[in-house]
Amino acid sequence: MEVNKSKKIIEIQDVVKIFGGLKALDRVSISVEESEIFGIVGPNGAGKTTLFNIISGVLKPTSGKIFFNGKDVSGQPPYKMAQMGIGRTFQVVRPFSFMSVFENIMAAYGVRFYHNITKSFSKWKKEEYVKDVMLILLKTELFEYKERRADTLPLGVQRKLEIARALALNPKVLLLDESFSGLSFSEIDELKKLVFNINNEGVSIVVIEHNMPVVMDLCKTVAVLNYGKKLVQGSPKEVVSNPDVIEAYIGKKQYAQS
Amino acid sequence: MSAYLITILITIGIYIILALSLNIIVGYAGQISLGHAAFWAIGAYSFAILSVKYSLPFIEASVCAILITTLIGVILGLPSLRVSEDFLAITTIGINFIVQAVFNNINYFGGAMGIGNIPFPQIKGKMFSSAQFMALTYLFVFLTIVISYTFRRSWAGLASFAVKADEIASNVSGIDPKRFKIIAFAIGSALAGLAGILYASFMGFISANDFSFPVSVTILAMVMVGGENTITGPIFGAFLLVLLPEIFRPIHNYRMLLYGLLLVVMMRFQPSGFFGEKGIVWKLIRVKKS
Amino acid sequence: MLIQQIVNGLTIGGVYALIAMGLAMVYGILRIIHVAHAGVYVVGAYAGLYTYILTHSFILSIVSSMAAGAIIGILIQKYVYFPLIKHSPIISLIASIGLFISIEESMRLIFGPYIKSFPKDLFKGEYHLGSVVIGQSQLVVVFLSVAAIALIWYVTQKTRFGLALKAVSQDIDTAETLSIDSKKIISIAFAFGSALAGLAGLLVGAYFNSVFSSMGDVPAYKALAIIVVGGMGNIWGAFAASLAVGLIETLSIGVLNVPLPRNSLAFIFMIIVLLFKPEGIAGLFKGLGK
Repeated sequence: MEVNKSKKIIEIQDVVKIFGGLKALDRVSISVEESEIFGIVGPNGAGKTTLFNIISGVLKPTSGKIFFNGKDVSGQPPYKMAQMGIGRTFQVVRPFSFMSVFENIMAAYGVRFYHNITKSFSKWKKEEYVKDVMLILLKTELFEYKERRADTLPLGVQRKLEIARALALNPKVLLLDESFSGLSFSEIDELKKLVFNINNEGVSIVVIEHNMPVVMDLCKTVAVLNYGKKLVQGSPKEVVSNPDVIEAYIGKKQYAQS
Repeated sequence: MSAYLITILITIGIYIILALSLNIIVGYAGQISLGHAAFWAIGAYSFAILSVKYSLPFIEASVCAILITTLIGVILGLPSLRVSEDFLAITTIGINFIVQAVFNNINYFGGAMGIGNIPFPQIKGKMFSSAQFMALTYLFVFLTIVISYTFRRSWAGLASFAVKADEIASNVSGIDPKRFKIIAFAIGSALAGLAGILYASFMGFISANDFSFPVSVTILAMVMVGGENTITGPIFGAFLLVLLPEIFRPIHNYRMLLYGLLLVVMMRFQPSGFFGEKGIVWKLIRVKKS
Repeated sequence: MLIQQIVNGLTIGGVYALIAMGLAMVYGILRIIHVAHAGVYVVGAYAGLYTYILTHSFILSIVSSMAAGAIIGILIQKYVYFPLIKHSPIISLIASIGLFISIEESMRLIFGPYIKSFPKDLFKGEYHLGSVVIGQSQLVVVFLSVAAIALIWYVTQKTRFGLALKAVSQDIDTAETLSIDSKKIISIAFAFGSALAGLAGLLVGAYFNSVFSSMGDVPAYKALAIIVVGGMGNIWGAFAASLAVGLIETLSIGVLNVPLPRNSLAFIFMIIVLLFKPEGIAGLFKGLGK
């Protein structure tokens, strides 16, 4: 199976996460290849967001290892993960509420230039940096909102803002946690286009998604989690016809629809 | 200018420095601190001891006092890295009580008698006049405003706001929240130390009770009533809360009641303060314009 | 001698528990640092005192102190805290401090600045058990504290209200979906916790035979230290922490002669606990539930 190790951008090995005696993740192993769009599906409470929290460093795994670009990064704090090139969004959006859209993105964009204490206090309004941020704003179709306070924006725009903020890190991987939920059909189409565009620039993308049609459209490979365990992994078509997966979803069809 | 007026203006100046320095911790970095008077006290006591007991000249004593206050501020700010904001509020109250108790009960710090004969600054062997001292105070006020403004405009300011808005989101955006909390505590306590030097030198006598917990409440009230995360707000708050007792002198008995009610009414109906984003002042200006 | 100190320490600890458990309950549901809880305590002390002066019935004093506490508590919750629930915690904290100042000052303006005592016929007896002396007032305080704590235990553990309270303090939204009227639960909890604070005011007033407007100053902040040690929203953690603080204070002053003032000890204890167990000592009492 393992053809070329160097091509794997993220490799999760036997990750276990225990919360107060409960196994949220049970020996999960997943690997994401460079430049692919990888889907993670599964019923609520299957451990999908926990997995994202571990990859982005928000949670430390109880055991198991995470490799990024072939390097062991298990247990690194979130900001180091982000600086290395792992960007993420949240299921419940978390923009920097009282800051403008531009400032939201500038805060993340400036990390690579200003995070060092000796440079933190210089002005960030350098022409080239502002131009870069404007490009991100244009790419994510946020330009018209650039002066707006983040918490005054509609949900669809806030979701784009989170993606833009993650893009500002110049990431190698982007983790999208249910970025499509709660959006209208036209918003979903727009966002899909954006995800493809980002992917075309060489960024690997991992999505957690309940919306199966979106998963079928976007992903080359899909892993199914259930009760903290990886059920199967394969192409979207293989996965939806797998009997174990169908069983896991019985009575929970609402996830597959909508 | 009368001595009374100069005293009031110097007091206001010292409180502007205190309010703006607390604003860096509370308004910029979002860390609740109810113990700012403790850092003020550490600045004042370090300066007093260095200049009275060790006869250090004004400038040397001041520089050392600021360094000491910054160092202790960073150490006492460390709990903010471990505990949630409500815990932090109570921890800082505790720090205020403990610092006061230490200065009040340990003889090295003068104990209950406090420390007296703290020298006024001198130039070429000549003592400052009160007016010169006032000029010095406002020079430092100006410096504090410049620092506050520069911080706001720098990327560090942006990063602090991000930490304040959402610690986890800032963390996954590549910003180390610990670093920017510590920076805020360091700058905030350094400036509080500066205010301590001015206070000790101007009063000539300090005791632990000058820096009690209600003083911390007043400083925080200046920031919040004026409008946190602005520069005009804390300056206005300092003016207001230093001048109110003077204005209310004729109804002296009701002073504290009015102060308490001001806090309740402001927070209840104007939580962003006079000069905050949705503050009453901006609304009034807008009404006049239209 | 040591046993005498332990008895005294536990008596004080029991009274702290009455204040701190109500405070922990309030924090558990609204996540508000309710400094004004100690204002409720002062109002309760005055209500009880004047009822006793008028009726010479301690039972009626108990009723009126609790009723006064409950009424003030509901008013505070309804008109100040509830409207502020969506703002940052610092806003309601400052409002709470403002309320506390306003309540104490109102008491001072209404009842005068002097210490009031109970009429001479209240609790004069003394009981001797070997070398240990227990005053009648001490006995009453211990008895009533135990009774009140038993009541808290019954209400929180054995009633439908207790169950609903647990649900609301864990997650208001989920509780609402279970068709629990969270507003009503919050009001009842506030009334209950405030009634206990009122009772505590009366008991302390009777125990030390003195009621005065600033009697809430020390409990206001000490109770905060206690609920931090107890793990913030945890009622039984607060109970255990109260007894611990009562004992530590009495023993370190009476037996160990610690040179620091009594009122800073709770905070020193708090900081030591935070250093080793940042989540408070609540984890030690998991069996007792929240």
